[in-house]
Amino acid sequence: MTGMLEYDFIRTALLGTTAIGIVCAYLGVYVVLRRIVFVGATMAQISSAGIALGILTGWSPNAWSVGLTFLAVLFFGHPSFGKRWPQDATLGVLFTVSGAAAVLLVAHTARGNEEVVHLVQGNLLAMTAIEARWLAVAFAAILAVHLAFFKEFLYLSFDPTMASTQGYRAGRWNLAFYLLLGVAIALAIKAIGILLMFAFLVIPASLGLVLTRRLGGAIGVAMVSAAVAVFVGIWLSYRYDFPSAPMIIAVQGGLLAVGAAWRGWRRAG
Amino acid sequence: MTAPATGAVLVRFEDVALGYGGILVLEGLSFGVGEGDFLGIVGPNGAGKSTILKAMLGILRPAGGRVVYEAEVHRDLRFGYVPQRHTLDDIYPLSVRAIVQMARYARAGLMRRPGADDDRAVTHALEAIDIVDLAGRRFGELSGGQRQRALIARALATGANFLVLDEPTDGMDLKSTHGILGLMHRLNRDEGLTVVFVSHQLNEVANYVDRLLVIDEGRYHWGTVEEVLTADHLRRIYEVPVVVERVAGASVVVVPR
Repeated sequence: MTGMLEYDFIRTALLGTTAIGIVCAYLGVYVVLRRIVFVGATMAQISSAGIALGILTGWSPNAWSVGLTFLAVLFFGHPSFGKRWPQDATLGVLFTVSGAAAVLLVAHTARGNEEVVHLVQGNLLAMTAIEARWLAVAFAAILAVHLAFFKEFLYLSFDPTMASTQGYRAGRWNLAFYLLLGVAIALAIKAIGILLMFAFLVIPASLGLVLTRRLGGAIGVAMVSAAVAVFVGIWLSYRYDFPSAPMIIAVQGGLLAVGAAWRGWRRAG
Repeated sequence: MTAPATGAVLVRFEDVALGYGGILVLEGLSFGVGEGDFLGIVGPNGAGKSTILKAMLGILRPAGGRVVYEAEVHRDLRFGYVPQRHTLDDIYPLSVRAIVQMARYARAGLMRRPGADDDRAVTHALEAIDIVDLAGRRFGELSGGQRQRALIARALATGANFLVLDEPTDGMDLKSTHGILGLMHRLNRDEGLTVVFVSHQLNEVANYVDRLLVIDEGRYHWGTVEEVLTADHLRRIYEVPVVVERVAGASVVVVPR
């Protein structure tokens, strides 16, 4: 299994993808608990439209991605979001329109179809060493900020009204949460694609919440399972010649299925 | 609408108008809450009861008039808010103790974990509400009455001397309702806490509180229970024929067929 570690490009992919996976799994616990999974999916899609815009214009896909995602963050984090118009409908519109925009923007570029596939599936084995190290540092910083304000993010997610009575500015904390999530999504999309990014946000967190009864346990399980899925998924793709990102998702899905079955068996017993 | 507060007035609404997004829910609202008061705010769903609480807590700015916190007592005024328990999501894997501890986060300050003093305050609050045995249980697995007690413990753990509760008995059976109202009564009488809560059950509330604020479709009446709970007042507010009877020492409001 460790034979694949002889290759630089695999070590690089492991570093970058594990950093993204662990931090997104952590953020995913909040995404699932706050019931904003579809918000995460829509932000990912908007971010991919930004990358497509970058490919089309030839100017920094990451900057476009972060910029568009930042606008989405301002929109999703605004107190009026979901109040005047059904939230699901707004998200549905943004998801489909930004998805279509991403495809259309790269359709007539030199490598149109290939770019679309990369946006969706990612191409994590093409990650450069500098890119992987930079992603590791950026995601470690996002995690550090979240952990530094762990109790505030938890309190403001669970009961923003009570927190407001104690002087917390619920709107600002909400915006900060979405901002960190948005930056994580925007940075991850180009490296690993929408599909794997979204899977990291949802599947490890679901496994953590299925297997454990405490928040700390759920976060721990989510982060560890994300790292395990990256290693096993890349090994399987190396060993049996499958695309890496879908294989990592398949491993995550398998872990979740086993976890859910184990919990069902425990309950029945 | 002139009932004086029992102690020093802590919060006074002066001709207050409340609403959201330019749409007013209530106008011309004037009443006060005195130190040691036990006030029930009663009205049907959508009448603006929770809106009054938000204005009282300072998290909703009045569209008109003003909410005044008396200067000499404001320094010591510490609100403990108990939200509607249905607004809190069961999915969070948090123990009762973890939820009560949230009340201490603001005191601990940014980037600091609650300390030993905070732990003692949490334990004291759990003991005061008699739910120490529930401390390790997951909040989402508790009954409605147990959850309400946990949330009252959290409000107490803030160091509150003024409890504000939003529909604390909503959806509860008779036993749990009696238990929660009895607990609030005890905290008011024995611990000296000022208690304000909202409900849409006039009969439940009237026999526990000292004062009532009854609102419906923009009309309101405020005063002692004896002043407010008359057939004439209730008929004017609710616009239906009302009879107020005494049964086993308690007041019962009946709408005859």
